[in-house]
Amino acid sequence: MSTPNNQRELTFVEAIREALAEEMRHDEAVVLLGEDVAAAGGIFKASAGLLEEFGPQRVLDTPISEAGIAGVAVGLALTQMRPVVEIMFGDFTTQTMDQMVNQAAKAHYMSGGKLAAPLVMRTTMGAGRRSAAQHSQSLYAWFCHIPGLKVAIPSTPYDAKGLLKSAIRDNNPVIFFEDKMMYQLKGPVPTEEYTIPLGQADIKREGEDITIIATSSMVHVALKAADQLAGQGISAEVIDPRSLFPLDAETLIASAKKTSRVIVIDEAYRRYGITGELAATVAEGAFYYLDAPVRRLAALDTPVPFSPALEDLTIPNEALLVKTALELVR
Amino acid sequence: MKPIEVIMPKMEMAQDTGTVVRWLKAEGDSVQKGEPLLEVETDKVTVEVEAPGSGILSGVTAQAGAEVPVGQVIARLLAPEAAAPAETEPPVEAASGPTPAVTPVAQRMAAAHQLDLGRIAPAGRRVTKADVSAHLARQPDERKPRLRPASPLARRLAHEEGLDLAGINGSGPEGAVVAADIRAALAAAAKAETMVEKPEAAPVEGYRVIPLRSMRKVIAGRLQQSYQNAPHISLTLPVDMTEMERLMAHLAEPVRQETGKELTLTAILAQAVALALTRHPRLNSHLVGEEIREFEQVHLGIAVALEDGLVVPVIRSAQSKRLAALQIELSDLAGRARANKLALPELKGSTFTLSNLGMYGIEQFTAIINPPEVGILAVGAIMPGPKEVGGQLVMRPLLRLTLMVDHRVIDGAVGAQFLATLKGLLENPYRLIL
Repeated sequence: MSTPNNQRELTFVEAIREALAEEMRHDEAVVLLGEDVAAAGGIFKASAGLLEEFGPQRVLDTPISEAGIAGVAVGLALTQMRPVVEIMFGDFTTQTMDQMVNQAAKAHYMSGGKLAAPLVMRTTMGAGRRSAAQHSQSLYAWFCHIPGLKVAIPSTPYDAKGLLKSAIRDNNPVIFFEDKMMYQLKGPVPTEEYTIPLGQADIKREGEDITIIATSSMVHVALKAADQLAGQGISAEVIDPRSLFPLDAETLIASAKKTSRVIVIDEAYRRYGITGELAATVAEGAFYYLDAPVRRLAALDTPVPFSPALEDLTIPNEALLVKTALELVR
Repeated sequence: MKPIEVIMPKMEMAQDTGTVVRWLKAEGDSVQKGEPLLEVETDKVTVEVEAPGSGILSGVTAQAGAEVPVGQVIARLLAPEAAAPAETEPPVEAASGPTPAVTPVAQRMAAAHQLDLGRIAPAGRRVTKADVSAHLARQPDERKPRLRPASPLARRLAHEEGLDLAGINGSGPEGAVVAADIRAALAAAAKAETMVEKPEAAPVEGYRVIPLRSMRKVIAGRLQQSYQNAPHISLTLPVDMTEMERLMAHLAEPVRQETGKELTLTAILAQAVALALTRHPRLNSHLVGEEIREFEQVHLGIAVALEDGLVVPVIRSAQSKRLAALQIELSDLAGRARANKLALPELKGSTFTLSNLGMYGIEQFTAIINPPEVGILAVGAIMPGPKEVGGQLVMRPLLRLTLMVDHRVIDGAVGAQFLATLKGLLENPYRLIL
C-alpha cells in the first residue's frame, strides 16, 4: 500500500492543480487548453492561478467546441507539444471521439512510429451532483475499448497527482477521469515530488475473505463497506486499479486467488462496462481458486435521473455492497 | 413404443446418491407397472422401487452394491416386441392409428422432434402447436446428466484430494459444493482416521473389512457432530419400580387381549416421558441456528438397534396416545425397522429420543443426543437395589434413568425437574391414567 510520507493534506482539485503546475515548470512543452480554463481557472478550479504563473501563451481559453479543442490538442501533440485539455463534463467527450479514436489513438501506429500524440484529456465523471442525464455519466469504458489510448481513474488526491504527472509525461494519449464529487475530498499528499506509474493497482486495504475491486468514487464506498464487514468478522481486501488501461491484472488475480471471492464495483453503467471486463479478467486468471461467482455492482442501465431520490438509487452504495459481500461469504 | 427408463429415485431433499441393494427382477424378465423392481438404500432407509411402467427389464447398468447419483438411468423397460440390448438405437416409432388433422406449425414441430403425431392427443379438433409443446414438456429430459454444481475452487480441491464430489453435501447456492464443504469433508475424514488405530509396523493379519456404508457413515457423522458441537451433561436418577411392576402385571393380559402384543416397559416409558415433556417443554425442543424451537407436540424418537446399525423411528404426537395405541405402534415400528421396511417420513421429525438398553441387562448408560434435539433419555434395566423405607434398608426393583442434555439449551436444574416429574409418574404409575 502506498503511504504518503508526510502529513500535509490537499483536496483532490488542489492535487490536480499542483500536478499541472509542477509539470508546466518541468517541461515548457506542456500547455493547457479548454473552456474557461484560463481567466476563470476551470469550472472546478483545477487550473486556478496557472494563467497568472504561466501566461496566456501556455494557458488558453477556447471556444465552446469540444471537437475543436480535441483537434487542436492532437495537432499540438503531433508537433512536439504536450497539451493537457480539459473537457468540463465527461458527457461532452462524445464530441471528441473522432479526434481521440481515429487520430490520437492511431497516429503512432499509422506513421510507423514516426509520430506520437502525447496529449492528456482531463475530464469528469460521476453522478450525485444533481446535474441530470447529460452531465452525470461515467463514459471511460468507451476509451478503454480503443487500442492506442490509456485511461486513468484516480480515487484519492495522492493518486490523482502522481498519476496525472505520469500521464503528462507519457508519450501516448491518456484520458484522465476525475469524479466531480471528489474534488473537495482531502487526503495526504507529500510536498516532495513523486509520480505513480500507469498500470499499477493499489491495495487500499488488505483482507483475507473477499476482494472488492473498486474504481474512483466507489473506492470510498468499498472502504466504508469493508469497515462494516470487519464488524461482522469478514476481512475484505479493497483494490483500486487506478488505471483501466494499462491494467494491473496481476494484482487483481493474485488477490482473487487469495480470497476466492470477488466483487467488482464501479460507477459507470453495468452493461458492457468495465465491471464486466474486470470480472472476466479475474475469472479467467483465478478460475480454479474461485469459490463463488464474481459479482458486478455498477450504475443502473438508465439515463441518470434528475430527481435526487431516483438519482441516488441508480448508483451502487455501501449497503448493497455489504449485502452482496455477505451473500458471497455466507 | 419407446423404452421406459428406470432411474435412481430421489427420496429426500438432501439425497445425492442411492445404492442398489438388489434387483428383484432379472434382466429379460417381464415386469408389470407398479411391481417391486429393485431395492435401493439411502443414507437412512432401504426402499423398494416400483416399476415405472410395464415391459422387459433390459440394459441394467447398476448392479447390486453400486452407488449411483439420483436421476441416473439404471435400466430400461422395453416393449416386448422391441426387447433388445439397450445399446441399440430405439426403434423408430410406427404411426399408430389414423393421422388426425394437424396445423402446419404442429406438423413441422413434430417432424423436427421425430414425434409420432398419432400419439399426440389434440385439445381441440386439430393437433396444434400448443398440443405438441405440451407433449414435449411431458417427455422425460433426455439430456446428459447435469454436472454436479460446485465452485471451481471446490472442484479443484476435490480433485487434488481425490474426493468424489458426488459424496459431498453442497451448502452453497442451488446445492453447489463450495470449498468449505470440501474442507469439512476432509476434516471429518482426518478425524475418522485419527479414531482408527494406526497400523503397526507389522500389520495384524486375519481380519475382514467392513466398509463404512451409507448408514454407518451417517451414524458416524451425526454422532461425531453432536458430540463435538453439543456440550453434553448427564443426570442420573434411580426410580423405584415396585408399583410399576405391580401395574404392569395387571395390565399384561388386557393389553395382550386388546392389541395382540406383549406389553413392554418401553411403551409405558414412552407414555410417561411424553407426559413429562408436556410439563417441561424446554426439553422438547430443537436448537436451530440462533433459535430454540419449543414444540407443542411430542414426537418421540425410539432408538431401535439393527443387526448393523441403528434407526430412530418416530411416534408422532405421543402425548395424545393411549398405552394400547403406543404399544401397537411401537411393536409395528420396531418390527419394520428390523426388516428394513420403514418409510423415510417415519424416521424424521423427532423432538426427543428414548433409548432403552434394559433388555440387555445394562444398569445405566449415557447416550449421545440426536441433533437438533436437546435431550435423550437412556434407560437401563430394572435391578434389585437398596432403598431406605421408614428407617429400614429394603431391597426394591430400581430403574436408573440417565438424562443427557445439551447444556447450551438445558440447565442442570431444568433437566433435574424433568427427571423428578418422570420419577413421580413411574413410582405412582396410576397418575398416568389421569
